[in-house]
Amino acid sequence: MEKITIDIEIKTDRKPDALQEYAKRIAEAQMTKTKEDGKEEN
Amino acid sequence: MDYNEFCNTVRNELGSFLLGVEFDEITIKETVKNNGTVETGLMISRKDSNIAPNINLKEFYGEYTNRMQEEAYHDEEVLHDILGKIADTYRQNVENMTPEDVDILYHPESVYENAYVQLVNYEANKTMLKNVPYRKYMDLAVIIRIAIRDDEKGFASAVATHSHMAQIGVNEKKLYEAALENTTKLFPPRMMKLEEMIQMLEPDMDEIPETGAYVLTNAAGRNGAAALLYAQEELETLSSQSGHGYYILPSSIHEVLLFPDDAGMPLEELQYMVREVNRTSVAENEILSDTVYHYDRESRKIEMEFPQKEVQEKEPER
Repeated sequence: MEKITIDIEIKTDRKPDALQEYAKRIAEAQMTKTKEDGKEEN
Repeated sequence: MDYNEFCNTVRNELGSFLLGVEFDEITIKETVKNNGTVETGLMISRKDSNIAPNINLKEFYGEYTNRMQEEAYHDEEVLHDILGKIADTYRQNVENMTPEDVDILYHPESVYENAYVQLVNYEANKTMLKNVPYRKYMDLAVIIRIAIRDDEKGFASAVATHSHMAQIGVNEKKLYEAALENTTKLFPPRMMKLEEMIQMLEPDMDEIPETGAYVLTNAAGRNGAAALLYAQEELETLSSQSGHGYYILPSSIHEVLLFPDDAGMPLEELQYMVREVNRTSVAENEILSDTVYHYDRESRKIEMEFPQKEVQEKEPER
């Protein structure tokens, strides 16, 4: 039988970099939309 | 010391940290991982064993460079500590593996019992997919791994391959069904607000903006994007309570984001956001897809949204 590769993963604390980036970008997009909606109402 | 030098030093000097451990060879091997990325792994093998434990050295090199940037440390001192840690990792995860642990890989019943699914990108893994059983899921592929050990020290698993499964007489259709069922029990879905998830992972963080987005992952937070395959109940509850459907943003192989489809955010903008975050904030081997998906409240189905619908292909018959 050929050798079976076993992947060993060391448990590390995941950093939420991508999630933070999404939160930032979504919040920015929502703020822009609110401003644009406000302009249209005026 | 660059990464190559570090790997070679580890290979040459680790032996003296493994006194009392039976092994025949320490080698450095480049292994193709998720999305075709190449990782340098350390293999400590025995001729009389059919398993080849592969320890990724990237994490250890990261620690080495971080500590070397602190002036108080000397190269030899840091290297000695790191070599000790690698040897400990081997002892804890491999040497302590009981014959029963390794036996899991050689008996069909234990393979069925310990199989679980992982969701990966189809296109980026086409070469690997030639050798493994999988199911196509939109522009993604569901592959199967076999869990060997999971404790506070680490996690050991092997990808189910056609050759391995054929050699021990595992039926691939039955394997997929067992893996999916096991995954729902071993890794139950977890859904929470994006802000709460960030706070949980980074407790010191403040001023996280409210977005209305949710994170869908599993209780372990590892390979949690696969929860899309079995979190129907959670998706239905969220959708019926809020009264709308959700765009699904594939933030990584570990989780997806659910964003209200009535929030007035253009789909193109979400698509651009996913591409940008994938390029700037997600490790290449953890990218799931650039595609935005949609969960429809009425049909309760998940479908790919713009673009890449052309990726739909017929799964090869086996």
